[in-house]
Amino acid sequence: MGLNRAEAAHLLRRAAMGGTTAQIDTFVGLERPQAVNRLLNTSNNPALPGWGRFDSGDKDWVAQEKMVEWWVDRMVTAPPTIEEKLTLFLHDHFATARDKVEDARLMWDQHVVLRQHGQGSFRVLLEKISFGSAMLIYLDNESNVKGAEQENFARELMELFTIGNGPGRFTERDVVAMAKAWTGHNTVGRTRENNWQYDPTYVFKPEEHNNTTKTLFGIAQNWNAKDTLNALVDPSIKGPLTAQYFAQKMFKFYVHTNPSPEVIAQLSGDFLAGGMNIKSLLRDILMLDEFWDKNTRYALVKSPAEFMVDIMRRTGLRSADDSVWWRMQGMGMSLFDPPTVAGWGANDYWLSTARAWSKSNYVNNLKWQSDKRGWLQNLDHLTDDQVVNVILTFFSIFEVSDQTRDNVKVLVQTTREERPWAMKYEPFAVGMFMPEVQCA
Amino acid sequence: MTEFDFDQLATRMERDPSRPLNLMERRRFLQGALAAGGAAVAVPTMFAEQAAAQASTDTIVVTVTLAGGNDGLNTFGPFSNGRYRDARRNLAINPAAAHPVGDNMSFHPSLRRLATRYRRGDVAVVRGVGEPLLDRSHFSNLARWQSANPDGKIGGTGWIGRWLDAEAVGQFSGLAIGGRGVPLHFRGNNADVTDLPRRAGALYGSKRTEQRDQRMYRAIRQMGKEANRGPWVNRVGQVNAQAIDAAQAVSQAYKAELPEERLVSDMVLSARMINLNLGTRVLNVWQNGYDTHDNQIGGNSGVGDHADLLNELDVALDVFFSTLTPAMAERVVVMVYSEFGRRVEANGSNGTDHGTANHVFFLGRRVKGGLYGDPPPLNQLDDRGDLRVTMDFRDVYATVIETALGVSAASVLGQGYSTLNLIGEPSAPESALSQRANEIRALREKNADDYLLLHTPSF
Repeated sequence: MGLNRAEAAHLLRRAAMGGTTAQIDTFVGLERPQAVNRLLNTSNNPALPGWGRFDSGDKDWVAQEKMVEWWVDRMVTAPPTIEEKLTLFLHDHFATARDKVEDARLMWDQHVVLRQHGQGSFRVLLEKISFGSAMLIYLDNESNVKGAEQENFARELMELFTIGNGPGRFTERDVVAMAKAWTGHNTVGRTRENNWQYDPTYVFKPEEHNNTTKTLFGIAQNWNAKDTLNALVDPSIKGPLTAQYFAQKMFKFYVHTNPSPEVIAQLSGDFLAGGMNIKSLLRDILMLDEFWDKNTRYALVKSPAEFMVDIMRRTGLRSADDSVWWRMQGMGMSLFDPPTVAGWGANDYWLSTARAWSKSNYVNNLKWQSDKRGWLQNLDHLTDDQVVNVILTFFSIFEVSDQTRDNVKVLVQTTREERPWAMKYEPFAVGMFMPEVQCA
Repeated sequence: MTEFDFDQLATRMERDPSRPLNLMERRRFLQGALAAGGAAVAVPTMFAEQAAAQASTDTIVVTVTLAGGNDGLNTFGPFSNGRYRDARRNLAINPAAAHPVGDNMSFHPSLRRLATRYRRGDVAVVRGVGEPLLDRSHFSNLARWQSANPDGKIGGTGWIGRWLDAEAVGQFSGLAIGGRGVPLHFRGNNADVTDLPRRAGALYGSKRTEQRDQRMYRAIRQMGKEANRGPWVNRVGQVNAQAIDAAQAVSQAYKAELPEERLVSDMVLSARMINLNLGTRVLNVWQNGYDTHDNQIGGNSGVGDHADLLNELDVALDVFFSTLTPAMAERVVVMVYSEFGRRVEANGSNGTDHGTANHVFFLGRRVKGGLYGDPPPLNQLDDRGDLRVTMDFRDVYATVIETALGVSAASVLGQGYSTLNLIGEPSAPESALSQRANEIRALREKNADDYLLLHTPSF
């Protein structure tokens, strides 16, 4: 028995950035492994542009805005695969913000790394990100030097990127030792040869490196940066904790926020045993019965990116039609500018009156285009119940509470009776206001 | 960030601060509220709350959260002390530029206005506040500070959220200012906190008088009612409905232009919301950027990121008090805190790393000014070279809960803690305010009739 519509829609909402009803229907009838494998295949995805597409001279924030618009359009238009959602997850995991880096080109370089290495080995990705200029600047390792150690990167590397915080995971002494191990791994910085212009290129400065024995994770040796990354994934050192932390984070992003220790143990065990391949972990998550459970559907609140991309795909709108960057920021999300190194949150994080107003204003502004662009038009010949079904199908909501359905119907009825000309706008608007549409 | 021109800012405020509605506007406001059919449930509730709040003398608590770990030692410290100067090297504050207040302690050069308030007796500094630190992570420390759970668990609900669960009378009892979501310390199990965006734009739901939107408002409200759906579908619906319910009242606070500077704007918005007298008891405002691993000095402005942040804080606190109506200014207590202090030793890249104990500052007419708690000695640091915590942060919370919010600390924190005799009756009038602030205040008082009209329900 293959996937039904509700299951196919769930898969696309979670594993990818959603899909139209027509796209969803191409997954109906497939068996789970077939459907998942189809999304895991990213080999036909469009190529990435070069930096020149975003380069805006010294107007760095303009470049960021262009990057946001490009990414959102790609999320909207690329055929559904895991790539865009996974890149968003990894951007959140290795959170780095242009606001501090102040160089959108470095953010772009990091973004390319997330795509090129995001489906492979966690160890390789970790190294590429850690030695990338964006991260060196964002967490200040650019200025971590012998005798004046700087703990910012050392701490977050363990707390947020690998091991996670908690009793028995790492100690404050490990933070000190880790910072020492990373001394001298800086950027070129300002040099006379460079006319005192800041050069963000990574460079190892042996004279700034603490070349002594340090005790990290209880092991006394002359640790250097790459040794620490090996230790963080080594099955006999911190690998199990890293696998557990990363698997749990990925489960919470893709399934729901309350995983059992058993399912995490199973996922992380396989992840570690398989050499920490990120795509394999994602496949394991998508194949869990729990992922397909009815209670898992709509168990996450859509992030602003998910919400807007879903609407844009259904309506045919693109970044050029609206200020996507500004809209999304009002809802609490600015791509390439996560609020802290811990990234964004989930569920409750996206819910407040301020964010609801931003979302509602977006909906309310958009609805005036429904007539001109032909969204949910020509409903006159249909009964109220049929109109409700057209709305639900437009938004690919294949299971809906009686309460939501009844209230959509009341709106349709009263609009027809009291203000018939508003039938050009209100069916579209009420669809976007359905709580189910705002959940994933 | 640049040095603010306070006088220019004050002039902007004066042109139209949180000007009370005149008679005509007030009538329109009320008529609009009553005319809105779909709003028939929410608006009278709002006015009932307002009526209840009208005669209240309850203390209003504003928490200002300095996110990132403020360098307390450079904010308020012994800047002439030899050990201090040795440890801080190029980051040490020049004592000649600082604002001394006795006991060899001075405020940072940026905090001129705060020092003035301190000298007037309206500021208390609690020293050595912290927690038994397990680590120096921003996230777990802020979460521990904000949750203060009786069982020691991190996250879930926050200390003010649990107070709101028991005491909130409506959706304006607790306000999150700045559109960054509801902070952990304001999260309860069922209390609704209203999050106010920095800029209002169009507050969807505020046009109660326009018939055309009533059907949609109704649909959103109905879809927000608890139902047999998943918990997050329910919650999304609830928050959308909450926004509709709050929009009209909140929109009053945005009518006059807000200042550009982030924190100043958020503090002015806080004061305006308090002035609206909607029954608000607790508010939170964020100021981000205190994670000064580098550029603590130097940085974009040349003076240093820390000096810039404190300058904005200093201005914002002053503008906040001068925007409040006199009656409300009597009732407000501001608590300024951060998740931890910084390491005593400078880190060598013009910054400081994560440390431990820190000051908590209290401001307001009800605050008994002065120094509280034992200062952690600079010659007895812990094994990492950090300041020793001399006061449990929950003692400070217990003080706020019992003496400002009026319930037993045990009901919020799970057990009693010792409290400080820090909040009491209003202190002497604000005679020492800046001339500009006094002028603004006089203008306000001249309009006192309007305030009375606004806040006396006529039905």
